[in-house]
Amino acid sequence: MANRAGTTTPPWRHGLLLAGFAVVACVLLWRAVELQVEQGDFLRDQAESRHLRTLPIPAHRGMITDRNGEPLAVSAPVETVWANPRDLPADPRRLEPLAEALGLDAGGLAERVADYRGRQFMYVRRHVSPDMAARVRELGIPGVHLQREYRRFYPGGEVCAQLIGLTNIDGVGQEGLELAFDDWLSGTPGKKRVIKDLRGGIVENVEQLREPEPGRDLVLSIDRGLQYLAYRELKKAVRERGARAGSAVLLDADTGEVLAMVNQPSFNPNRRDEIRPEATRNRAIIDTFEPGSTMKPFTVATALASGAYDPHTPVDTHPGYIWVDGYTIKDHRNYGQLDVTGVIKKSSNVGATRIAMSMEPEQLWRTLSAVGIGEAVGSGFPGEAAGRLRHFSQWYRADFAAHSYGYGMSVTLLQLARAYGVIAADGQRRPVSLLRLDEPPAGRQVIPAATARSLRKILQAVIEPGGTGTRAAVAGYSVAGKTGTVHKPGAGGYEEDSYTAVFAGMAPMDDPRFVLAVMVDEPKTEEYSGGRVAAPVFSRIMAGALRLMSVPPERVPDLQMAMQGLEEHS
Amino acid sequence: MAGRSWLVAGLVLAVLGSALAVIYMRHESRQLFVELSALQEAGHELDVEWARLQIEEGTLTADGRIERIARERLDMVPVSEESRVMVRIDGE
Repeated sequence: MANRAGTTTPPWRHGLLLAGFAVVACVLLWRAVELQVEQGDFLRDQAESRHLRTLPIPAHRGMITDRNGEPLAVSAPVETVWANPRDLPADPRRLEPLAEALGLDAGGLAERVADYRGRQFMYVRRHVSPDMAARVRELGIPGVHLQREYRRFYPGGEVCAQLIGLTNIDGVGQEGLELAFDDWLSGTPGKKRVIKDLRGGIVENVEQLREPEPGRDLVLSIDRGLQYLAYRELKKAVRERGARAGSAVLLDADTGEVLAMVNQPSFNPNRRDEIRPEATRNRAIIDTFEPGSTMKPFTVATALASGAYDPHTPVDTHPGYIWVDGYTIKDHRNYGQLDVTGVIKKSSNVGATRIAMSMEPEQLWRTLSAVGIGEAVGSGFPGEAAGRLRHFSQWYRADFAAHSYGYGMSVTLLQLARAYGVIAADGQRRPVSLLRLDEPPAGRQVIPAATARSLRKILQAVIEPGGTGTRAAVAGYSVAGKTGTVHKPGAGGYEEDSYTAVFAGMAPMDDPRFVLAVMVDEPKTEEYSGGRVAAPVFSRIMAGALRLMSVPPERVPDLQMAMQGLEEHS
Repeated sequence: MAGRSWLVAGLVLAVLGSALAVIYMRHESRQLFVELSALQEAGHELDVEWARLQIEEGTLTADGRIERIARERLDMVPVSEESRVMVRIDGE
């Protein structure tokens, strides 16, 4: 071991170098063991928290609009503030600006954060306004994130509340048409792949795996203007009468489309926390009641169709009551000798019973079931009631009598409107639709056309002086309709002073455009009859509908005559 | 021997060229992605705005509001029965 200079290297130098290398190797080995064994779990977590994630992209829920495209339910993008409590600052005071920006109680937020400590996800506040979201973003508190969601807004508010229904906060239909047409309205969420950092923030959008497929829009048969009109009048009547509830249904006589369907009490669907369950009932479809005198026209229709009666056939209602199998059927007073028209005009129970009893039960039953009593409307509305009409083979004589003036069966207001729709459409029965139709569906002749036409004439008498429904009159138009004042059944028989006031009718009489049924439940005022409580509501809604839809009045002075009038004045 | 050198040189150039192309394309894709993200963001903003405007329109055109304004601020009344006339088109 000699170098060029001739000096010899001391042997210890070789050993020293070897030892040096050994130490370095040991240090590296130790470090490797430390990383793999001691900190391995920690580092693996760290790595995993950085890898790719697949996230759903929320799909836009379709709009619900009225027949003219006016929005009744709209999904708007909003942001939801969420937090990873592990990453939040430990000092609760640093969360105060956040609570303030979101309008939350600072103490409450601190408590919730403490409850969620140890978990990785909590909602701070869902569905915040864009301004709030911007402020949260500015604050930049670690561990606080924003996420995009959709919120459902209902521009129709309380006017269409029960019909449209509600979604839950995740945008899934819960009630009403939102539930019935949930599949149609909701789209398919998309998927995207992202790289997220350990705080959950998205570092990079990698790719879109699937486009979100937006839901489809739903066009209802409702007309927003008519809906509002009906709601305003019904609400006023229910409030003035101190009534428990009320409903109104307006149908297009030619197509069977529902133009308005309103209920009281109602609620504002945009303020979920104030909703009372009884206000969410769409009573017009899901609640049934005994239709009472509003069914008498169908007794008369049966009689007219049988050929044994015409509108002027005399009917003796003397002495104002009649015994049927131990039951007394009474009129308000003794109307004496009436004709068929008079029985309807005065709403005589005795008369209706006499007419019915001269026929077979099966004939009456056939008419009632032909116009859809006891048969579900098939609107698709969740909880729709079918009402009840017992088969005539199960009727005793007293039942037969009761059916002739509308007791012993139950209907929904929508069914009642549909039955009157048959009278309006010259005996044609069409399906009722909550969705806008492009062309009127085919009808089925269930009552002879001539019978339906003379029935309308009879029903017109109800509105004329001396009838029970004079308050349903609409200036300038001829109205046909029928009142109903129904004793409500309670525990152990019918209650003395609890009523349902009903009015169902149509206008204009010659060629009806609208069919309207109004029901006010348990009016608390002195006046409680269908003619006093429900008929005025009918009149106001019908007058407004005829005007809004520009139906030409039948009895209005001509322009010529008006000009002459003006000239005479000047 | 000379042929092989040329081949090697050519391959080296090709490798260099494709490496540069990869760099360029990567850069390009990043830029396009940034642009896409910006456009998506803008689209989202427009969505928010559209929904907001729809709701605003719904609120402003609410029949109750229009009626209130018509009655209270503009002193409008429904057409009364007496003041209504029918205008017939000639020949009817």
